[in-house]
Amino acid sequence: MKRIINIALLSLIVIVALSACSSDTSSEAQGSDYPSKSIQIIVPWDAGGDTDAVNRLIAKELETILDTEVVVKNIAGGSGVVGAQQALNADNDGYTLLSIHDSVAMSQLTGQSDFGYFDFEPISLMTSTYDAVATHPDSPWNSMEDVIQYAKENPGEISYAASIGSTSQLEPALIETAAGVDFNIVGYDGTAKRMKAVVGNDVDLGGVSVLAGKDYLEDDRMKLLGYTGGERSEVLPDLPTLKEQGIDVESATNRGLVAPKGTPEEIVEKLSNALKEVANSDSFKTKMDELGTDVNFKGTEEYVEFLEKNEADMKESLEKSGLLAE
Amino acid sequence: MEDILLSFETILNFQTISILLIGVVAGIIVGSIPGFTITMGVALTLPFSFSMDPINGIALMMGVQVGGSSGGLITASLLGIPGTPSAMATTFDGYPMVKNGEPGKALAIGLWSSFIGSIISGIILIFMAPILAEWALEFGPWEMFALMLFGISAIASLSEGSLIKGLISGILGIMFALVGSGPLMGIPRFTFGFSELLAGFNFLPVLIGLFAFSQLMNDIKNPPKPLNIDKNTDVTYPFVKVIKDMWKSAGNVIRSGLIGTFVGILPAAGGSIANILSYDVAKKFSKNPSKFGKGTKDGVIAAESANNSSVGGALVPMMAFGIPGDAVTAMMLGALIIHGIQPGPLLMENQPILANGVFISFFLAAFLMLAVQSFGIKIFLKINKIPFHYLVPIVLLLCVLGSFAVNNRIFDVWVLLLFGLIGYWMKVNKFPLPPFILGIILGPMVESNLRQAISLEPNLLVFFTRPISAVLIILAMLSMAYGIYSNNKSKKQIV
Repeated sequence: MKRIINIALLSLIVIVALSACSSDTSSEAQGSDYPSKSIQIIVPWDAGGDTDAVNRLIAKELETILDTEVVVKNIAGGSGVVGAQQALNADNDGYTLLSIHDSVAMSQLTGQSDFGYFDFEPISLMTSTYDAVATHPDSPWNSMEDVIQYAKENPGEISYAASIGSTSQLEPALIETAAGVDFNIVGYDGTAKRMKAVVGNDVDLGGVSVLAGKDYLEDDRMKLLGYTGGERSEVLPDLPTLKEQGIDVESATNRGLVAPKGTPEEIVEKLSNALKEVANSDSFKTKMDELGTDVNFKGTEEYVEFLEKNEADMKESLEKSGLLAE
Repeated sequence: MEDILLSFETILNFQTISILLIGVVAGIIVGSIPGFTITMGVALTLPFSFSMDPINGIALMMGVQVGGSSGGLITASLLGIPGTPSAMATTFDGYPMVKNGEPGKALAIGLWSSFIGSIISGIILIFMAPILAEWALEFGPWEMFALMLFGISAIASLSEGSLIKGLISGILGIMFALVGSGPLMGIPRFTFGFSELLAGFNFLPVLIGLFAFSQLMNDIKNPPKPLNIDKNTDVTYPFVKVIKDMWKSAGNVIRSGLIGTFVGILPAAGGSIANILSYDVAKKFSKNPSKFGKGTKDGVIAAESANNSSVGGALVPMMAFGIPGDAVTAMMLGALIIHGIQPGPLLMENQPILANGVFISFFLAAFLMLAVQSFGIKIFLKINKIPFHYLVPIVLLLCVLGSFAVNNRIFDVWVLLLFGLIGYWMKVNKFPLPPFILGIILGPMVESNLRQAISLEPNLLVFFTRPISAVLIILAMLSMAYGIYSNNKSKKQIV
C-alpha cells in the first residue's frame, strides 16, 4: 500500500514537472479567435529593472483588454541578446512577444548580435524615457558648457560611466560626436553600479533617470547638468536640455513590443490596437508619470518608420565614435 | 517617534502578518529545495505584490528572503547539498555533523545562528544605515578589487589537502567565468558563435551541478549509511544546550554576523560570498582549525549567521540611497517603483512610515522564521527516512527544474549536466570544490573592478595610497600566507 502511494506521488511530481517544461505547440492561430490562450511577453532583462516595470504594467492592462492571461517572462543576459534570440526562434502565432528598446539595434551595430529590429514584426512603440547627465557635487562643472570646455582643453580626461547595451552607452558617444570632444568611457555592469559610481564620486559623469536624479539633487548628492530630451522635463523644469546648451543630442530609451517574423498581420493589428488602448488609459499614463517616463505611442506603420530612422541615426553616431562593428 | 508608532500600526495587523508568514514559509521551501533560489522565489512574488499595498508587497518579499536564507540550511546539513547558493559553506560542517549522528544539533545551531545573524544585521540596519551607507560609498573600484582579492585568498585555506589542486580548481572556476559577454564592454568571449553562451554560464546550474549532482552521483556509487533515527532518541537537540553552545561561541556569532552585514552592504557581493568568507575567517580565528570540515559547530555558526545577516546588510544601501545591494533588493525597489514610490536618498525622509515598516517587517520575518523552523525541524528530519532510491531521483528532478527556471531555457539544464560531470570528476580525483566556486563568483568581480580602476586612473600605486584598499590588500596577503602555512602544517601532521 505504502509503495503504491509512493509511486503515485512520484509520478505526480514527474507529471507536474514535465508539464511545466512543455510548450504548447498545437497552435491554430487565426486572427479571428486570437487570443485563445495566454500570451507571454519576453523581457530580455532582469526582474526589477525599469524595462521590467514598464512591461509588467503593460501586461496588466493588456490582460483586461484582451481578456486573456499575459505573462512576463524574464530571460536576461548578454545585454538583452539572449532573450531576444529566444523570441527570434519562437512560434510566430502571436502568443510570444518581445519587449525591446534601442539595445537591439545597438547590439547589432556593435557586432554583439546578428539580428536587428527588422528580424521581428514591429507592433507598437509604447514609451520613451530621457535621462539627465549627472556629476558629483564636488566636481567643478555646473553646466554641460563647462564640461565641454574642460573636455576640449583636456581630451580624454573626463570619465563617463556607461552601462553597456543600454542607452547610457550611446549618450556619451552621441555627445562626443556632437561636441567634438573625447571622454574616457568606463563600463559599468548595470544601472545600480553606475549610480553608485556617480554618487561615490568614482567617476566624473553618468546618466541617471530624472526621478532618481531629482531626489539625489535635493539631497545634495548629485549635480544635474543637462537633460537628453528634446524639450525640458516636467519633473525638472529648471534643468536645461543638451540642445539648449549647444549640444545637438537627443537620446531616449524607446520601449516597444515586437513579434516574431511572420506573425499574421491581423494579429499584429489586433495587438497594436490593444496596446493603443493601454497607452491611452488613464491608469497607465499615471503609472508612467510616476516612473518618469513619457508615453509615446506609435502604431505599427509609424513604429516601423521610427525604427528605421532610429537605426540610421544610431549607425551614424556609432560610426563617428568608432564603436561601429566592421 | 510618531512615525514609528504609525508604522507599527500599519504592520501589526492580521493581513500583513499573515502575508509575512506566507512569505517566510514559501522562503523556507524555496530555500531548502536545491535548484531553487531565493531570488527566484522573490521574482515569483513580484506579480502578487503589485496588487497589494506597497508595505504588504515588501513584507511578502522580505518574508521570502529571510525565510529562504535560513531554509538553505536544511538540505545543506541533511543531504550535503546547498539548498541555495548562500548555504554553500553550511555544507562543509553541517553535513559531517549529520553524518556524525547529530542532525538535530546541526539544524538547531544553524537555525539559531540564522536568527541571531538576522537580529545583528537588523540592529545595525536601524541604527547605522546612513553612516554605513556613507562608508560604503568610499568603496570605489580600488577597494572592491582589494576586497575581492581578500575573498580569493581564502582559496589557500579552503584547499583541504593539496594547495596545488586547490589552485587548479580556483583557476578553472575563474576560466569558466570568463565565458560570455565581457563585464565592461560587452565583447563576447569564448562563445564560439553560440548566442546562448553570451550570458555566460549561469552561476546557479553550475553550483547545483558541482555540489548537488556530483554529490548524488557519489551517493549512488557509495550509498551513505542510513541514520538510525528511530533508535536514537536524542534527535531533536534540547533548547538549553543550543543556548549554551551559542553562548560559548558568542565571539564567532557576532563576528560572523558583522562580516555578513558588511559584505551585504557592498554592492553585488551578497549572501554566497558572506557565507564562504565568514566560514574562512572563523576557521582562521579558531583554536582548532583542524576540526573544520569534520563537523564542528563553529563552522555551521559562521556560515549561517553570515548568510542571514547579509540580508539586513543589503537593505542598508537600498534604504539610504535607493541603490540595491543584491538581486532581491533590486526587485523590492522595482516593486516600489511600480507603486509609484521613487527609491532614492530621500526614501526614509519622504516615506518614513514605509521605511520603518521595512525595518519592522525585517525583524518580524526573523522571529517568524525562528518559530516556523523550530516547529518544522522534526518534520525536516524525516527526510532521512525517505528511501534513497526515491530521494535521489526527486532531488535530481528538482535540480533540473530549477536550472530550467533560472532563465527559462533548456540550455541551462545542459550546463547543469556538464558541471555535474566536472564536479564528480573533481571529487573522485580529490580536487576541492570550494575554490572552484570562489573563482567563478569572484573572478568576474576582480576583473571588472580592476579594469574600472585602471581605466579611471592608470597609476597602479593608487591601490596602495587609498587607505582602505591598502589595508585590504595587506590582509589578503596575510590571509594567503596563513592559509599556505596552516595547509603545510596539517599536511605534516598527516604524514
